[in-house]
Formats: sequence, C-alpha cells, structure tokens
Amino acid sequence: MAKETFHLHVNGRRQAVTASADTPLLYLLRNDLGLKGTRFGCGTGDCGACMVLIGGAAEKSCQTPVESVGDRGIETVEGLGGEAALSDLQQAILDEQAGQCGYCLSGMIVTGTALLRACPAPSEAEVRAALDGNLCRCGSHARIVAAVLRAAAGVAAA
Amino acid sequence: MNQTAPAPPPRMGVSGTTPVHDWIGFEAGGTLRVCSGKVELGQGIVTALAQIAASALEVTVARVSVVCGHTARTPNEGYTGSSMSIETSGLAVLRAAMTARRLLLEEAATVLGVATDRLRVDDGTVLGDGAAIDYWQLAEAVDFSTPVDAEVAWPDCEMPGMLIGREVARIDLRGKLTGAAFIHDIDLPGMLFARVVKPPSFTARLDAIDEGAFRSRFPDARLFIDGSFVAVVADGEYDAVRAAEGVTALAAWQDGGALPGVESWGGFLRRQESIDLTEERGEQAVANAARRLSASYSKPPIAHASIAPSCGLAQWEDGKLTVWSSSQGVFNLRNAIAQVLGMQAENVTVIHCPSAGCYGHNGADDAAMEAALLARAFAPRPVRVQWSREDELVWSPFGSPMAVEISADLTAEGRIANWALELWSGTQVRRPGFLPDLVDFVSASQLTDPVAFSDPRGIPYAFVSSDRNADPLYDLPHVTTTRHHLPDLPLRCSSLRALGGFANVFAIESFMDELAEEVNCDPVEFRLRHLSDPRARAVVERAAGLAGWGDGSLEVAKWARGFAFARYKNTAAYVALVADVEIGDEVRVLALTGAVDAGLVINPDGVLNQIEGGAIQAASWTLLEEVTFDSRAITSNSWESYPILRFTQAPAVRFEIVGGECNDPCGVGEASQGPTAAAIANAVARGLGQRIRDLPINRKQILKYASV
Repeated sequence: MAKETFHLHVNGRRQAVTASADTPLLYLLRNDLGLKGTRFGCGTGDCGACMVLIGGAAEKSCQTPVESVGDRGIETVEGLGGEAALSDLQQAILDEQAGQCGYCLSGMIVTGTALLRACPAPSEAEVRAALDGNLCRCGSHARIVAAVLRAAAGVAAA
Repeated sequence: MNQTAPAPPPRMGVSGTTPVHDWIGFEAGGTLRVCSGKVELGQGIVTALAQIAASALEVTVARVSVVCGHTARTPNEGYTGSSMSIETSGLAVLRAAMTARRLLLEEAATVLGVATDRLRVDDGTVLGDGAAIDYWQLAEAVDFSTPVDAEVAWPDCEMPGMLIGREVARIDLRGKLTGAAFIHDIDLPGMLFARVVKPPSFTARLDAIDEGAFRSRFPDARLFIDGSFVAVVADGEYDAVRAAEGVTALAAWQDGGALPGVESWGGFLRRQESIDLTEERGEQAVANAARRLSASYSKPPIAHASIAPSCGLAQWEDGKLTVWSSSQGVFNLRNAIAQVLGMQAENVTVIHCPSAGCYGHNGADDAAMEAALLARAFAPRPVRVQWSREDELVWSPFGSPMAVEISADLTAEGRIANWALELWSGTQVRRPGFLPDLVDFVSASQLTDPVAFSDPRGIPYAFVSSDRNADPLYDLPHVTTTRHHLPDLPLRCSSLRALGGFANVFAIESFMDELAEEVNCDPVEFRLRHLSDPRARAVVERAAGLAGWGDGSLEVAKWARGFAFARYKNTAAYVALVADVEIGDEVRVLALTGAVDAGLVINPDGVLNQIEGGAIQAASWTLLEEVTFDSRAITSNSWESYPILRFTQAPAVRFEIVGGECNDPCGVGEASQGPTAAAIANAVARGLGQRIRDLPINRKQILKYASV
C-alpha cells in the first residue's frame, strides 16, 4: 500500500509520520515517534494495553488506523505525566504500589484518566466498570481500583 | 514402568567459594552495584535484593543499582523459579554485602586509626572519633576477590535500624508508568522487525510457499524459510505484521496428526501410558473401616496468558551472538541456543530484560531462539521478534492437565488414619537447557536440520514436579503417594506457577472439607485437629479470625464461604484463606481474606502484593480458564476464547502477615495459588450443596449442577 504523510498532534506537539493509511496508530507512536509507553498487548482490541486518549476519549491505538485520527489531539501516557512530574493517577498507583509487572498500567492510566475527567468522584463500581476492558494478568485489580479511587479523592481535595 | 526417586537438584548461589565482587561492586557516583542471577518478573525481586544489600551496608536504597540475569556480568543462579529467589540469591547477596562491610570497616579502621567496634556507618560514610571516609574512597584498597563469608546467616528480624522488614517502594515501578521499560521497547540501530509464521497446528510441516507471489505482494518485507520455520522481516513493524498475515494464504502445510478428543481430563489422563512411582511413609493405622472416603479431582491445561506476547532480540556480529530475552534462566537459554546453532556457549551472551508478568516457562525462550536464528540469517542487523496474541496463547507451553484421586479412612475419633493420593500429570518442567542436551524450542524442531523436542521419558522424576504438595503437611500416620508421569500428552507442557502444587492443594484441601463433613466437624477445626506445626496453626487461626469464620455473618442466601490452607512445597510460605462467593448462574468471588507466614520478610508490601496477586490469578484459573482444542489445533487462541478474570469479576483481597518468629525467609511467589482454588471450591460446595471436583468451576458446570 502506498505510503503518505500524516500530521499528528501528539502530547501537544505536531509531528509528521509517513505510513500507509491503514497503519495502526500503535506502531507509529512506538516506532516512529519513540513513545514506547503505549504497549502492544494483543493487536485485536481485546486487552486495553495500547489505550491512548484521542480527542479526549480513551481509544485502542491498535485498532485506530492513522488515517482516522485527523485533527484530533492524541495523548499518550508520556503526555499525561513523566518521571519528573507524575500525574495524580500515576502517583496514586505508586502510592498504592498498584502493579506487579506493570505492563498493563499505561492502559490503566489512560482509561482511568478518561474516567476521572468525565467523572471526578466515581464509585468503586464505576471504576471497575470503566476498567473492565483493560486486562491485568498479575492480579493487581484490587490495588489498581484503590489507586483510581485515591487519585479521585486527591483531585477532589485539591 | 517404575523409577526410584533420585537426589534433589542442587541449590545454586549460596556457596561460600565465590568472590564478593561477583555480587557487589562500588561504582562511580557513589552507587552500589548488586549482581544477581535472578531476574525481575514483576515479583519485586530487584527491590528486595536492593533492600538486603542496602541494609547490610547501611546505605540508602536509592544508591543501589541491580544487574539481573546477564551471562557476561552476573552469577549463574539457574532459573528464577520455585519461589526461591530470596532464599538463594537473597542469602548470597546478604553474605556478599556483609563480607564487603567487614572488609570496608577493617580498611577504615586502618586508615582512620580507629578500632572497628567504634566505627559506625551513615549512608556509606564510615564515621569514628570525629573522622569520616566513605566506601567509595575505601573500596580501591579493598580486595573484593575475597570469598564471601558462608557462615553469614539471615539477621535477627528484630535488628534495629535496618531496611529488612520495612516497606520500600518498588524501585522499578516508576519507570514502568511513564514510558519505555520493557524488552519490547528496545530500539537497536538498524533493527529489523520480525514476525514468525506459525504452522496451523503443532505437528504441521511446510510443503511450500509461493515466494514469487510473496515478493510481489509484500515488496517491503523479506521471507525466511528453513524447513518449517517461516518468518518475515521488514524495516517497518506494520510491514512485517501485514506480510506475516499474508503468508498464511500463500503457504501449504501438511498436517502431522490429529489431536485426541478429551471428554474429561480425569478419564483421559488415566488412560495414558505412564511411568509410575509409589512412595509410602508411616505404617498402616487402625481405622473404623465403615468410614472410608474417596474422591477424584482434575484441572485442565492452563495457559500463561501473559499480558505481553513474547519478544526476543538478537544480533550476530563477528561470530558472536548477543540475545536479549525475558527468559527466567538466561544461562540455560544461552547453552540451549549455542547447542542449536553449533556454537561455543562463550560466544553467546544472553541479557535479561523485563517483560510482562511471567509465571513460568512461557514463550520468552522460544522468541529468543527465533531471534537468534534470524539474526544469524540477516547479520549484522539486529532482529526483533514479536509474537502475536495468538502465538502467545497457542505456542507457549501450558501448565499440564492433572488428575488427583485421594482416599482415606477415619478413626472412630474422627481423625484420618490411612491416606492415599494418586496423581496423573504430564511433566511440569521442560525448559530449554534445563538439563544438558534438553533443547525444546519450537523453531529448532522445525529446521531442515532439526533439533527435536526432548522425550519427556528422559526427565528424571525429581524434576517432573507434578508431586509438589502431593504429600500433605497434616499429621497423618500413614501416607501413600503414587505418581503417574505421562510422557505422551498431546500438548506442550512445562512450568506454570505452583506447578503440580496447584492441582494437589486444590484436591487435598477439597478432600479435607469432604472428610470434615463426613465426621460432622467444622473445616477449620478439622484441619487444626491434624496440624501440630505451630506456624501452620497460627496461620489457620489468624485467617479464620480475620474473616470472622464461623460467626455466621455471611450465611445469607446465595453467599457461601470456604476455607483452605497449604504450605507451598511444604517448605515455602504458609497461606490460609477464606473465600466468600456468590452463586448465581456463575460463581462470583467476592472476597479472599487470609494470612501468610513467610518467615523473615524483606519487604512486607512485596509479600502481600505477591500473595494478593497470586490469589486473584488463581481465582481466574479456578473459575474460567481451560485450554481448548479441536482435532487439529488449539482453539483457545484469543482473549475471547481464553477469557481471564476482569475488573468487574475480581474479588476484594485482604491478607495479613503473621509469624514474628525469627525464621529464615520462605518464598511467597506461588504460595496462594493452590489454597485459593480450594477455598473457592469449598465455598461453592457449601453454597451449591454439590461438590464440583473438576476445574474450571465455570458457568457450564454451575448450570449442570444447579439443575441436578
């Protein structure tokens, strides 16, 4: 398939990538733009490891052809908070030690961030429902839920 | 066929003959390097090892950097498995660090002219009589080739001012929340992206691929074929993905044989040819013969289902090969790769890099071997092999299916008299390089000049590991254990968390409840009646107390609770727990509440994280998981056909660490798997009034039993 140039707005920066129109955003973020925080987990939209925010909504980047993104802004986990300045949710995950291998956590952070923006004070059931499409294999579910609730409480207190 | 039991495998890493500098080094910038042959799998070992070294040397954890699993830089400590890393590598690091501390203080005493007993240490600075000098200044004059002091033992758990026993945040977690952190994220200059094209079934062999059509359809990718090992490589990852998908339509395969139908695992396994071993301890006890019980249990094959499909990288330069892998045993992997490629092991370097959680022998070693084959073909360009989700669920080894049958008779006083357990299992260990000449790579078996899979008949009984926890920890006067090792299972089986301990504890702890019911005794009381080990009793009593066992508060309609206990391998951590379940068309586990005694604890939160995570994962195995296949191939090949527990299904978990005695550390990584399955099964038996003895306890089974 012929390759074309696409202009993406990623984490507040405009970036050009050259790819065939059907290329999943996941590969472009990771390999062309060096944003490795977005993880490959299944490539079939079933696990949530590759979630990014597109136009503020949590989307599966493995199921998002680059041509479909258009002008919508993309936020990856790197854009939500870096090592030096963690986001509230990233900090809450550290505070709860809510991870074992950590591979699924980028997707959890993206999904959780979308939830907290839309619903700043979710119930535990709302957190679990929001995260239901994100798989965790190490069994960190209870701690991840606690971290999202902690971040919500912190945001509410601020 | 019968075998006698050979000696257990040797332990590595605790020898007193290795030099300090193999484990500990003082580096520029005031950092302390700790080298370990054990690797980070998400279990927190890197943090615990850093804590041990930092404690012994009285430096902050922030100064410690840990090098893990590197065949050119770290000691060979075999596999990171069997919940042994603290017991072995932790002790080795403790000994090396305590020896380094002694050498440094002796040097400081000389330099400062102050007796060693008047020196103290503050974050690596040695202070005495108003003078000060730091480790890094002292280190140049110290001979770290000195052997480690082998008599150093675990410190008293009450030792003040030390980091052991404190909660220290995982040192690797922060980086995993913010960007590149995993093997999948390594970018090497000039790297080719590769996908391996797996055959349609395990035994299929390649007839032909229309290479001309491939070249015209996928001009950006290159095809590699050696026998039935097929791969595509490209400069762009998506080009490789598309080409790999496209090859399927251009390839003709010859099927090598059908998979058998399995109506029930218990029945199927009993019909297989077996190598048998019976062991007996104690003497025939007097029982009331009228009270004899027998029951059969089974578990299906279970997949690792790692959240990250396996990845391996390799580069071939000037006859030397470098491999990056998330393998649990980099030295064993190195030897196996060298054997396949006909190389000297010293010309192969394997470097461990973290991946997603690894619960045993998954696809990581295979991906590394595939990367090595492709790196040789495309030298000197580095190659990165990425498995697909389907590859991971179909081609990683599985935890073996197992059947366990237990019978026991009871005394008039309601105690167990004669106990007999019989188990049927494939091997629980079949790792590349596990024993010399065992290779066991899918790719190597497919080559024109193949290195075939090893015959499981050649695996000594001591390594098969289906017998973990087959002999209960309970006080039993007469125990007979019979193992049927099944070498010809149609599936590729190897190590999965807890190995045989999962099915054995599920069966034993289910059966304990059946016996308790037979003598009309409370399940917790019945267990205590057969437990004299004070640590076991304390864990059982604490778990029951924490959950409010027996207070009747949760006995509402459709809710039920169950209890279970085990000490993993009878040598590692003790775990007891209560499962609270709700039973509708399917079982929902509401809460898992329990206690753990892990001896001396390095990092309490690390212990709890492992126990909690293991319990939730075991709930997933127990309720949902089963590898399925048709007559040709594995059909549980996606997250839809191999579902795991989701957030709306995951229980609340609460565990407490008990045991203030100064016992040596005992491993926790696999300790909650078996007890969790049994506690859930026991709760379901109470709630349903029918006992389900075959896992998984899924919707299909609940509906079947509910309609009885």
